[in-house]
Amino acid sequence: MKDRRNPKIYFYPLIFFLMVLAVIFIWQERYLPLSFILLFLSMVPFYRRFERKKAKAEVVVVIAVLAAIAAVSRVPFMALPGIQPTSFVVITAALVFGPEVGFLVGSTSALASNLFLGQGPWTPWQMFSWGMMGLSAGYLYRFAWMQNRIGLGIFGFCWGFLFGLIMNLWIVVGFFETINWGTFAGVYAASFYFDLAHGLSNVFFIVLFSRQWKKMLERASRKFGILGHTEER
Amino acid sequence: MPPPSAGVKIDMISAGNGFFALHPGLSFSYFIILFLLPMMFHHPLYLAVIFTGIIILNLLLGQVLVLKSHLKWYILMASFIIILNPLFTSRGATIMFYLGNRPFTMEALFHGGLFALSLVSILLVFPAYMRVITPDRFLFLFSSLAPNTAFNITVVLRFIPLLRRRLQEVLFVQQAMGIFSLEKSRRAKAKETMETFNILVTWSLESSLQTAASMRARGYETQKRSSAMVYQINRYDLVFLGLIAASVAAALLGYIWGYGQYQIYPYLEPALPVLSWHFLTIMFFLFIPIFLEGREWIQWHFIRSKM
Amino acid sequence: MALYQIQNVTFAYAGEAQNALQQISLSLNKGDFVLFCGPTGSGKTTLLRLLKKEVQPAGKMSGIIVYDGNLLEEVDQDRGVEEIAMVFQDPDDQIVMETVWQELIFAMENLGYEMKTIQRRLAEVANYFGMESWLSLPVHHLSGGQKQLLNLAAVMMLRPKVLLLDEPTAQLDPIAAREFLQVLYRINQELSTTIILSEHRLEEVFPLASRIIMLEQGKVKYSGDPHTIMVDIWKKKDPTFWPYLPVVSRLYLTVSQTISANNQIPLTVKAGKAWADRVELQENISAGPVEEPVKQGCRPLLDCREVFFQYEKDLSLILKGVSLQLERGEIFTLFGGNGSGKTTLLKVLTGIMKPIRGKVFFGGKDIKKIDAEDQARRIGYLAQNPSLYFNRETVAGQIQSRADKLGLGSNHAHVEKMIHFFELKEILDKHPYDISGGQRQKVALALVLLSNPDLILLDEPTKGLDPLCKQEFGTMLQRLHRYGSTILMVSHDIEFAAQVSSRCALLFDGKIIASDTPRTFFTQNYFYTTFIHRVLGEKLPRVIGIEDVTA
Repeated sequence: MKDRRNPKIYFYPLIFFLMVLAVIFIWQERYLPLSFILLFLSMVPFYRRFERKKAKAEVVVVIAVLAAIAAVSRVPFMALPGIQPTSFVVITAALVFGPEVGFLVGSTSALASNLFLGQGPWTPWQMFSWGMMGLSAGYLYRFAWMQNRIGLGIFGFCWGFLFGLIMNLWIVVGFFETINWGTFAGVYAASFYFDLAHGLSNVFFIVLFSRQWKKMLERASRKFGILGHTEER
Repeated sequence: MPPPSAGVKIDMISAGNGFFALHPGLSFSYFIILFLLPMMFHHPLYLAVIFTGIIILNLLLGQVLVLKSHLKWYILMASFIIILNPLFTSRGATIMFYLGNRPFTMEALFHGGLFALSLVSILLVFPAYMRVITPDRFLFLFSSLAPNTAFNITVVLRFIPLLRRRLQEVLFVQQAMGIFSLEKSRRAKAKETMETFNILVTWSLESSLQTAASMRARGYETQKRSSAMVYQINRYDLVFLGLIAASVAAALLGYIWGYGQYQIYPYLEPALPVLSWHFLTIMFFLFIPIFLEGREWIQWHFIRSKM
Repeated sequence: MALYQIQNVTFAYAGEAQNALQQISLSLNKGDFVLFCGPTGSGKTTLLRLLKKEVQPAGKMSGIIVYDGNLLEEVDQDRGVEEIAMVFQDPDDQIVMETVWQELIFAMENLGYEMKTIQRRLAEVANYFGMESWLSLPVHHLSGGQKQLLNLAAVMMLRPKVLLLDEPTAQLDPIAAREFLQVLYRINQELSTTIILSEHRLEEVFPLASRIIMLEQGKVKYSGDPHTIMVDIWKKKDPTFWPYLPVVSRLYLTVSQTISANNQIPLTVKAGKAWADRVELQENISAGPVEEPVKQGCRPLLDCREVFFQYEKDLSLILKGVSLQLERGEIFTLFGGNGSGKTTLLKVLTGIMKPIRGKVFFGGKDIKKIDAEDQARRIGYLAQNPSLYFNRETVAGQIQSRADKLGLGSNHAHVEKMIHFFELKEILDKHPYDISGGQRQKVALALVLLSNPDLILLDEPTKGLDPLCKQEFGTMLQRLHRYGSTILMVSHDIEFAAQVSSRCALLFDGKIIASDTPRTFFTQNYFYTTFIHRVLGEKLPRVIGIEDVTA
């Protein structure tokens, strides 16, 4: 039974007050706080859906274990800079379990691994990027061109750059006075190598491992009795 | 002290003295405002005070090593912004030199510097934040707002150390079987590493079936979860809630009236004097945790020196 | 009064033609301490899981299960969760939350209890289980035994009427297991909670149980109190269940020719000794394969000289000057308590973890100078947990991928030999997680042996195996030994080691304390020795096993 006089509610007005405060910035050309707020708002619907109905124990566990796998997957690749399969894990999870699980795996994994490794202003952006990566992978999987390794590989390669694009956004928006092609080019040139490595490692894992992973996850989905993306159609 | 309320407080969530003694909701809100301050006020003196305040807070919270280890990265980020801004902006009257046919102005450089200071201040909020808002406090805050999500993250936090430990075992066994022993191409190494990682994935997926069964066996899926985690709000919290709310309101009002802004173009505006009521409010706000932590420090220092 | 009434229950898993349980009819009483046992695949886990609605496996069931006067499926959901508690095998897999106290209150939170009630029970349970000092620890800081105790405490928070436990000590070391079983006994005695337990550690559980049910191929084979069951098995000379009896009872049944109904069969060393004092017994020691003198003269296969090891510079030394020589063709067992460094020593002997001081010679050559790949082929290492070996969809695929890595072609004679040796033909097309734990271990060992190593290092190979599997594994080791393999194993299993080893040693405080043939080793030990020696040691000092005695 929930305690009605839960004191936590006293703090909500303060939090909402902060939001109102932030909206005022719109007239002051302060894009940075605004971008954070809009980013949060954009993720709310997915989490709300997850909140509204009580998920099956299996669904919670599968999201948690996949998010943990995505977070831990960096560890064995420490010795190989530029290669890490986190995005691959998120994409494959979405292919098998559908866009919503994909989103939750991606964003939860980003949040949880940042709780370990260190939070920063990048946390919400990472949550958003990996979440959207999962969401889009799950959504696009219904189209035939996504269902082979070439299509998936292209998708993964593009996301390498898209990820960088989103992650750099807050720097561009917040810390340059003129936002034009030049600024963008400057910032993106600086991260080009990382984004390329990200895209290529996605391609590498998708080409070599996506079949095996899909089978592994499909077995889990069968055993868990979760209707995934594959059975939906 | 407030009258004892219905429940006895469970103190297993990391509690503490000084800044930690505040209700996590309060300290969380404080950090959000602290995070917003360097974005709001780009006046050099404001930024300087905010920056100093955040540094002192970090030091009092014992985050010296963290700052040191990140120092290189902070400098890199800052210099990147300082240099890039004047390259793309040609506003400002004081031309230092020409790059091709673009003027490189002192004002734009200065503006880049302010941006850099603002960015580093924002980044520096986080080491202190991490120290105070530990994962359990964070999850406590969100367990009423988004219980399923908070619960899900708790399970992830339980799985991560487990998977890491299992990964060590898996890696050792594969090493003992002769994987990773030869000099190979990056590609081959990555392939082998991933195959090894797949062992962990297969294992974890299988064993998480048990986790789900154990959850259901203990009534997950039955009703709405209650929560035994409770922080009582005490007078201490209320006092600081008042102080924080008042200073935020004042700061916001001042912001709307145009305080804390700084004009760079065409010429740098003289920065002094800014000893306005608004500036003092910001200083007061920054001083709250420093006071809380510092008082603690002095107390211990004093007691120890007496012993 | 009956708590559970199981009538004509037949069950088949979804998608399987064969019934996992057939026509089971049982009545289990309130306050009983019930033990389910039987070989892997006998259906004990299935039966146990059918007793709790929330964890019932998917499949087709006929017959009825009555719980406390109501049909189990009609028991109110909350009541079912509260009154019927379940603890599973793997301590890690069951834990959901991040810290100990969160885990403890998880069940009560789910049922929506008030904070005040939760706190009271938390305090009570923490006190009863003596876990106050670790309440705020993250669960990954706990040992396996502590984790399993936490799992038990977490379900006890709901004050259940019956506790179902599925091989709860299979993954624990003997000391933690004994402690866990003692806590169970205490719960049964002090709180009169009904306990239904499936177990392989029968030496410890037999004396505690008030009711024993033995299953075979989905049917109840024996059911009754320990005494009746033992007499039944003895009379039928049932080879499947004979190894399930405590060794002291087996000694008694082997030696005494007649059993009358009122003769108490000894279950414990104490009772065994009282009986042995009254009867005439003779030594009958034949020089079995175990006694075979070790071939001397040639260079030892493994020579470990004053090895020191620590994991990190600031951590304490784990190995403090271990010297150990292993001749070709030995089966060497290394004993030692928790944290004595047994597993660490094994890892150092693989050559992958480097000692900080001291040298390891393998085949007369410094192990550091052996090429890494060569070393990995010649030294086979089997870890405790077979789950560490599988990433393919079938056993065949798994074996093939390893064979490919080793450069053996498909249908290579050695691959075929291994499949034949470990009897893997039947399971080649199955997923590694769809076969039993014992089979998984065989596959893992086959994978290790594909490289045809000179030295086989085994880390607690009998952990979690049922008595039959253990016997089978022992036979397999003897056969490998006959083929000329040298085996070094680390174990807690004294009875098993006494049967198969050619030499035993004790590792204590990072050093080897004693090293002898099993007979000398066990006859000179007082605590670290076989049950039979404890019973008969004073009378017949050279006896360590049942086969050493006649009436």
